[in-house]
Amino acid sequence: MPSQRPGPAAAAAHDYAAATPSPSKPRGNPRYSGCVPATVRHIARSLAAADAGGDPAFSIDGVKTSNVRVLGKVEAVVSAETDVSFTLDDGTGKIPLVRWAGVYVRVHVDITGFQTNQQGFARSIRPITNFNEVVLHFIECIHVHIENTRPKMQETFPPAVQTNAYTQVPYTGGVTEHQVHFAPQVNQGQLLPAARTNASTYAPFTGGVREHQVHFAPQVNQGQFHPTVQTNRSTYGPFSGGSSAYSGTGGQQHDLQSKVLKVLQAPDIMTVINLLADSGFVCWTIDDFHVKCAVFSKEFLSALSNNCVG
Amino acid sequence: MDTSVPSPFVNGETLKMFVGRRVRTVVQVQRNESGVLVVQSTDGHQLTIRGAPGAPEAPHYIEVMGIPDSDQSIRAESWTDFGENFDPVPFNGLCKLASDKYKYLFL
Repeated sequence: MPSQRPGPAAAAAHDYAAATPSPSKPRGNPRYSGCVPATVRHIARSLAAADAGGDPAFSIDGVKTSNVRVLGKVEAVVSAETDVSFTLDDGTGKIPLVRWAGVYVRVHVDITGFQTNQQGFARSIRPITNFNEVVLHFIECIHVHIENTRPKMQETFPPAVQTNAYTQVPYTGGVTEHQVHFAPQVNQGQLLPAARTNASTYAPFTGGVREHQVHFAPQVNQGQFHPTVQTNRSTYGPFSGGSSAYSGTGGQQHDLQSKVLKVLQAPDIMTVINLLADSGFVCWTIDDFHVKCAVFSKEFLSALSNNCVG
Repeated sequence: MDTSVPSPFVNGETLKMFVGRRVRTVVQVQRNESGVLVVQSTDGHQLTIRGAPGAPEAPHYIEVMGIPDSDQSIRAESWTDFGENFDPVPFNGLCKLASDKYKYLFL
């Protein structure tokens, strides 16, 4: 009976296994433990070697791992009802991949196109693991919409929080610092500290602890005005004190008086700050004009949600 | 972009406004009665969910997408396990905002 020689594939797998001997105990490379960068060819040969050796566990170069990292070009995307599958070609081979089977993902999108050719370019795709982030996202949509559609300064004088929504940086966890500045107001009357958020560092939160630096400066004013929050709009012009501010309005004193009346009806920002401090959401830092906020995600979500209401 | 078939966020109170239309809601599983989930909405209403096989047990929260066939029951088309650490309070607030004052952002 002639000896049966193994086929080419089996022989290659055997040779590959010989080249990468299985250790008596699994070796670990701390640098790549958990996620091993590999070529598609290397992965394919390792899989074949594991099959040939009857080893149910997948290992690369003797390192048992179930996570690998590949890099290549996406080809042949197929969208099914429950998942999206595609082929990744890294030049050494093509590996079929399946992803996003009914998974919530957070995607950073560059909107491109015009009229009928509108589309989005997905810059970043990340699965959601904390589903409170789903609610947070939609509340943030409302919040940013509110901030971006606040009336301009010339039309009204609202107590608004200044946010530079164009530079918002979504955050995915850990600690984030927010700069919240209370801008000084030099006016006739005593305006209480105005609150302005330096939203260039605004980062929507998805977990962990977030720190906010809140700075507000005293007001040098004559009279008694409720605190105002400066709106970050290019047309915003704070009061500059005395009759000169009124003359700067081109004689529209009536409009200015109505704005002032609205300010007087605005909520007392210091009352809010003190309430937040008493509730433990903020704490005083270097002086009476600096506070730091440290809240957990649930409290922040509730506070943000309440802020949107009404 | 297709915005023709939105799924509004609903809670127990606003569910009745969308009977017959696809909605999405997050509820907390209380028990499973022969395949029918008895759940509690984020505003404390007790609802029943049909057609959600394999759904997790109490006290998991699940997001249900489906069509309400009454003001207290939903025929589920899909569900997602939102885990045990989901906070129902902000979601309830979102339902109110999304169905009233800022409805135009969602529907």
